[in-house]
Amino acid sequence: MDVLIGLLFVILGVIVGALVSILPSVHIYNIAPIFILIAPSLGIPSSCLLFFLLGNVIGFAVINAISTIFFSAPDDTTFIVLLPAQTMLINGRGFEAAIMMGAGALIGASVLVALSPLLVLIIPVVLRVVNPHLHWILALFLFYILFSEFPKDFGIGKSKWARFKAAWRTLAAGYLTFILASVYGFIIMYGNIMPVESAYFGMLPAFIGLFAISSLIMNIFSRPKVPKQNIQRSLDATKLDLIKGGLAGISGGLFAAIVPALTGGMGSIIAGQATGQRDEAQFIISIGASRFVYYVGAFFFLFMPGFSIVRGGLANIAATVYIPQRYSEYFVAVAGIAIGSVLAFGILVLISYFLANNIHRVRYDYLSIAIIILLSVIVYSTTGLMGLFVMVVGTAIGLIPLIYGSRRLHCMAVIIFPLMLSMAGLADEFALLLGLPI
Amino acid sequence: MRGVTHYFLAAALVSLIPFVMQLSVYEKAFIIVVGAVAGILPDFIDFKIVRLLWPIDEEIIPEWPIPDTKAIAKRIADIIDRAWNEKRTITIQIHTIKTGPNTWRRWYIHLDPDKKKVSVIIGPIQTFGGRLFMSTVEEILSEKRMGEAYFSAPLKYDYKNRTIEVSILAGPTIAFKPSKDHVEVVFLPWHRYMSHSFILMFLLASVVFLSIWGMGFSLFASALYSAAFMVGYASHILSDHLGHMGSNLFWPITKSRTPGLKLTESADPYSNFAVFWLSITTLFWQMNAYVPEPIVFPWTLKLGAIAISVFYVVIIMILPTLLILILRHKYWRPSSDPYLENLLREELLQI
Repeated sequence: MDVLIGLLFVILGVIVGALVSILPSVHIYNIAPIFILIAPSLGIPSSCLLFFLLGNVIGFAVINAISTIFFSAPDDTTFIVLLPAQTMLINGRGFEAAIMMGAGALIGASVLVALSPLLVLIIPVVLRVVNPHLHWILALFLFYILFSEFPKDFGIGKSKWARFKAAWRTLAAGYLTFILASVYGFIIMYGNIMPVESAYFGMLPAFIGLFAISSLIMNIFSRPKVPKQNIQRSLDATKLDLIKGGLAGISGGLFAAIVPALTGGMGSIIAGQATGQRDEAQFIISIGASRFVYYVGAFFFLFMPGFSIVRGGLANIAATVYIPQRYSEYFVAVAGIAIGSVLAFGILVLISYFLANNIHRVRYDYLSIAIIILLSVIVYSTTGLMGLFVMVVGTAIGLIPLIYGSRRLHCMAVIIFPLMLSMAGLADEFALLLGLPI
Repeated sequence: MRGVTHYFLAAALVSLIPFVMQLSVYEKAFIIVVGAVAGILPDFIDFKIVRLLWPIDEEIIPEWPIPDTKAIAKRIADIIDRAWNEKRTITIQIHTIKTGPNTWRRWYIHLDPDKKKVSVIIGPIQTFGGRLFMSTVEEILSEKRMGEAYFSAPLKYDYKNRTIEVSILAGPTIAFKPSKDHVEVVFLPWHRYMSHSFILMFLLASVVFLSIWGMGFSLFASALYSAAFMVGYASHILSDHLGHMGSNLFWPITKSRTPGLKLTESADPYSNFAVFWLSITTLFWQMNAYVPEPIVFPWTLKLGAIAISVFYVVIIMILPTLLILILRHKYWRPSSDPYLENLLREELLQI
């Protein structure tokens, strides 16, 4: 395949991925399968489609900062601790936060590109070692996320049992989310409840319900007000912040890219805690780097010639269409990451600038309703009525951590728990326990 | 040590127990996870149960937004004297000052046993991540920034620089505990009190043993799970003992914490990362030993049934750890707080 054509599809993919990613709560993994389905009718060769999807993932990994920062405005009365990017938004520094996250993504892209000759040698060997142990590695991370959540505040002037109750309200909500998401994910994966023709979209309604619709509903009710934003000309981050945040994000993202079902968020939490990172700027930079390395890295592994490494939801679907087998394709992908990430960063700056100047005019409740309708249409058209039902259940589970202020990461049990059981060979026993047909 | 360090250290140590890796790979067991969870269990018990149920006698609630430093200092001095005169332990919960969605005003309590003085000092506003906004101190009239009061009881307090920092989230608990000849200041009396005890560890390990056995596993497997639990739990107690606070190692036989070895601090990111790195590389080594096609690292020596690669140990494990420790030596400033140090220069020099 021609190098220029490959790069052209990456660039096209970045632009389309960027446009999709501006929409709040819309994940590229939910939209890209549609591109895979329509590509043959547009006459796009499957090898070119893969570069287009790589561009999609690059665009999403960078531009998703917009949705995270500008469209996740918090209701600051309901949370004890806000995420740093949310704090910056309500302090009028949303533009700066977006650029910081974008800088993190660029650091992630630079390291991914610089390490690409080594990665092709190291990753397959590391996976050979890790694969037989995946069941307990997944459990190790799952239980760490579960047990490492601590009560943040429990009030003033209360009796000891009132303090206990206040603290355990949040913790119990987290554990409940974990249990419900685990069972829910297991039923979706092993209960054969989704129509066969929706195979590409198996977990889509669950993720949309758990993470997207639940946030949008909170936006409707809390009606957050975003103040007028300032356009900073410099970042409130030192070189050390860039290095520390970047390194933590890259290591967390790379780890999450290697281990199936782990996410960049989980990886960066653990890497951030291991490196003692608490500073807000470092956190934002690390999230940018982690997301980039996790999303792009996991998809990029598919290009490693001769290894057929399938990591991440999109790679799983894309691998059914085409698996690259040549080093030329691998290095076109590397060049695509370099060019695509710079292009995506440019788009991020432009859109952030525009939004920073106009975001205070946005009615979050109306916007959220529109997005809920759009997502529901996508779910219905791809997975039918059963998909809508699954989405509603996911929304109910996803609302628990938002209402009680516990970690949303517990929702990731939806995929990690069933996968862990399957890898440990315990899926049938658990299915029997739930009364599901084996 | 931080939770993540405890967790992965415990997992790494458990993976070194004979038969654990075989059980994990061939029987698809989760024994390493049991050990890792035991590695954070002591802090889980402390922060999610004991802390919440610990009896509090009085609460120090600073006025919002600017606390009355003199009144707070007087109240604390009065509590110290009462603990001494009434010969009873008085436990106080000190509250933080929340100033915004993600900001708190930092404040300090400096206890000087030599001058029998309590100083309460208002600091700058800070974020959750610890970023200080120094100019926010200027908003407060200089005479209101520090309040002092005197007590008459003999006080013993040598922890770090005799200063309690009150910054974010729920704020610390302090107990003033009288003995024959002085009042002792016990910082976080609920922490490392009962949970960091080897006796509790044995009790819980017995519960693990009986539970696993009760589920129909063999005696050997039950003993192995129990051993994994003990190794994980003990790794937490022992690694915490490298710090300042120490632990009540044999609760309920012993009633107070044995001071730590003061080799590091739980908040020290470099020590934490060094241990984390050693743990991860140990786990990877163990994983590699139990796969069908292991990576053959150079310079591998066979010591009976154990194979050790000098390359792996030196280049992958020790050299990065040394690099982290060199960086620690160069950059780590424990509990550095220039604002406080400037204010308390004279007092701190005397310690």
